[in-house]
Amino acid sequence: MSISHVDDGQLHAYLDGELPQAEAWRLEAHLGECPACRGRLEEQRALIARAGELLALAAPPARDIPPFPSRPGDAQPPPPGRWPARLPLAWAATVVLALAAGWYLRGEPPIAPAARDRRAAAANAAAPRDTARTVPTRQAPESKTLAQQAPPASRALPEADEAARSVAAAQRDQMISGSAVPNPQITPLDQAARAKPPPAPTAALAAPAAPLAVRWETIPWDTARVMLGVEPARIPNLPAVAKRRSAAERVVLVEQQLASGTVVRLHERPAAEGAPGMEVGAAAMQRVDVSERLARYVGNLRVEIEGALPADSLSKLLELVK
Amino acid sequence: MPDDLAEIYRSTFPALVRFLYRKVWDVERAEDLAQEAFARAVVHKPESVRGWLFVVAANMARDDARRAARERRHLTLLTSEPASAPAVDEAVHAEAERSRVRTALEQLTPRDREVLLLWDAGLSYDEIATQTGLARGAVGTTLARARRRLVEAFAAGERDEHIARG
Repeated sequence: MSISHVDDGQLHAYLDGELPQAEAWRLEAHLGECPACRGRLEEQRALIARAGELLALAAPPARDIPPFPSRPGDAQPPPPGRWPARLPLAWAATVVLALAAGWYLRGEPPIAPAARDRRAAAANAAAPRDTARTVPTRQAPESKTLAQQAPPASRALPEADEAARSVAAAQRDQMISGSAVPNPQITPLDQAARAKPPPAPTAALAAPAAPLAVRWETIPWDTARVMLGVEPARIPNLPAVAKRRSAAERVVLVEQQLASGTVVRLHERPAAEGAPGMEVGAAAMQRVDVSERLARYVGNLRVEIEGALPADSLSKLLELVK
Repeated sequence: MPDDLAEIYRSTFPALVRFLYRKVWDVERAEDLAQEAFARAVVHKPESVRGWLFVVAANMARDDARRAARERRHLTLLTSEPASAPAVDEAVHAEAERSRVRTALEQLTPRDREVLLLWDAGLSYDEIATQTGLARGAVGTTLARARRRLVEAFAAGERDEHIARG
């Protein structure tokens, strides 16, 4: 055989069964007449075996193959049709978030901040008492309450609290003057409040839900639809009850029983009013001592989950929001 | 889901998880990424599914490592985060071995490590060449070097530990 000694690469390819047939024959012929290369072949065989052993030491624990994923970002799709009898709260959180994100992405035309300010000012002029209570104060007191009641989270968000305060102040000023000129102080903050990007971690607040101090009356679904001008948002395939606080205040509350002890609440206002479209809350109704509450912003939606949540749902939620 | 993809899923999923595990070192994360890679394959319908899956998985693992570094900072804000489940059932010895192999793997050059992990995940020389841009004839040489360095780095790590223990 005329070829020179074989290199390690060829030996590995040969031992891996990856050397093309013609080359393999030539290599075998050389090995037949070269004891040195035969010795190297055995060395490399041992090396390959040893490397394989080491990699096996760093193999993941054997587990069953999970079901095939159906869509990107949906590695574990929910069971179709019926909900399982006992749904973990983490699932409730997932469902609520998915719903909120879906609502947020349904393509509502963005309202220019300036136009909204003008509309708010006009509304103030027309009905100073009612709208002054609902429209201009909707951001500020909520954020303040959150900040006051949840010191651990608010420490991470001093700017958000500041922002809320100055928005409130600016809006009060505007109400007094009745000015329809867009306030440059409001616009960036207002935009930030409305179009807060979902991944922004500072938008995550751990805070108590607003207490349901007021009694809600049950209304027919048709009435709710008329109030909002659109079909009220809700989780499909789940019984829903529509409620409202009063005829004057155009907020529809949709309550849906997710599992025993877990109710999802969706707060929705008519989109034209420019209010935060929907507040979402999942509350463990029968629990007196609520061990954990969560609130996240998904875009301009406030998503609230209340109940005995597994500790890992914080990170799960964070991932979902992203 | 196309039938052939279901078949590839059954045959390739464990290999993809093994490949990803040596990058993220968390089996659940590795499974999530592997599933995500398959979910994307459903949408993209690549011609050569297996090779495509490993390319996508490698990219996701890289992005994941960057994101994990970023998130560690954010998560410190969330006080109730649980520590990852302690490996109570794992033999301490096996865990030590695993971490020694991990250390040894990290001493390889990125290319050597990639080729070794792809081979170990069951890809052929042709597939590895396509994925890494190496000439097919260079795959054997790269593997030979990667294996030798892995074995040497592991042995050196063991030696150092013995010396450290006295």
